[in-house]
Amino acid sequence: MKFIRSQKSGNGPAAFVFQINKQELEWLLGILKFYPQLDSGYHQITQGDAEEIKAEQSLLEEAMAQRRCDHMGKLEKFFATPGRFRLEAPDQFRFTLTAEQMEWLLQVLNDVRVGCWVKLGRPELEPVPPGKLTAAEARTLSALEFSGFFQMVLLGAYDGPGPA
Amino acid sequence: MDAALAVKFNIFLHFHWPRFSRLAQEADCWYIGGMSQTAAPIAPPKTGKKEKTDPRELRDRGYVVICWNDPVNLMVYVTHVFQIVFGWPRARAERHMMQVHQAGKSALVRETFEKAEHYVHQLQGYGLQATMEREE
Repeated sequence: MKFIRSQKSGNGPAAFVFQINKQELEWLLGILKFYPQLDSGYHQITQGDAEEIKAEQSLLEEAMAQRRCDHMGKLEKFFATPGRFRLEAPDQFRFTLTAEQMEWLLQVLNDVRVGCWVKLGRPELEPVPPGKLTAAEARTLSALEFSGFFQMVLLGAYDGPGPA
Repeated sequence: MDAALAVKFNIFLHFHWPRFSRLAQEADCWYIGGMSQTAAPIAPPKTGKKEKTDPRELRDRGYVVICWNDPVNLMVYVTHVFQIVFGWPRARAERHMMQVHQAGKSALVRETFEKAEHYVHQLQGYGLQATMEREE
């Protein structure tokens, strides 16, 4: 997957155009099936003892649950849109993200990445020797790494296209 | 104290009051701001009873939004989130991101209760480990 160009509008880019091959698209769709990974228990409003802050913990959890619900709806709508991925060449597709779609997709991918990390027991993310992971752990680690890859491509779009 | 100097002093106090207030409490005395031309220290009456704090007053005190390090959030992502949530230029966002990475945490902003809570919700929505703490 790579960033192709942005479409300007007013002060900043209004939309970002990406190219993705068939294999990457399958990975992306596979990763997004992991969403949501994080549960409400992950979110902590404070590490301190201030009672007036602790009282807001449930509000944070509700807000995060609502956000996940919104993102699920946006994801479904996004992928259900006919012609979302336009075939450009054999096995190559193009798609466009608005600035707003970029932001929620980044949040979704990061939820998968962080959620997979939590599921793996919050490791330090050092290279794992072959054969040390179960099949389920390997799948979770792959989702973690691939979501990071897609995040990097999306974030790279803010810096403009790289060398051809 | 002449009138002009008193006005200047009061303007100064208006902007720096929270810090002075804290220092004054530590020194067990109060310096009264406002538009009075007297700036003499006035000791609060000692009742011997523990004063009840008005919750609204408590909420107006400084709350610090802190971002904590973890090994999973990408550095470039953390920088981006700071830029989006706080509207910071990249250099400032990167400075805080590096502080999180190297020192384990970074105090991002000092705000009222409501604003600090808003920022924590935003940052956590992006998956960062951000909390709000009452300023000591």
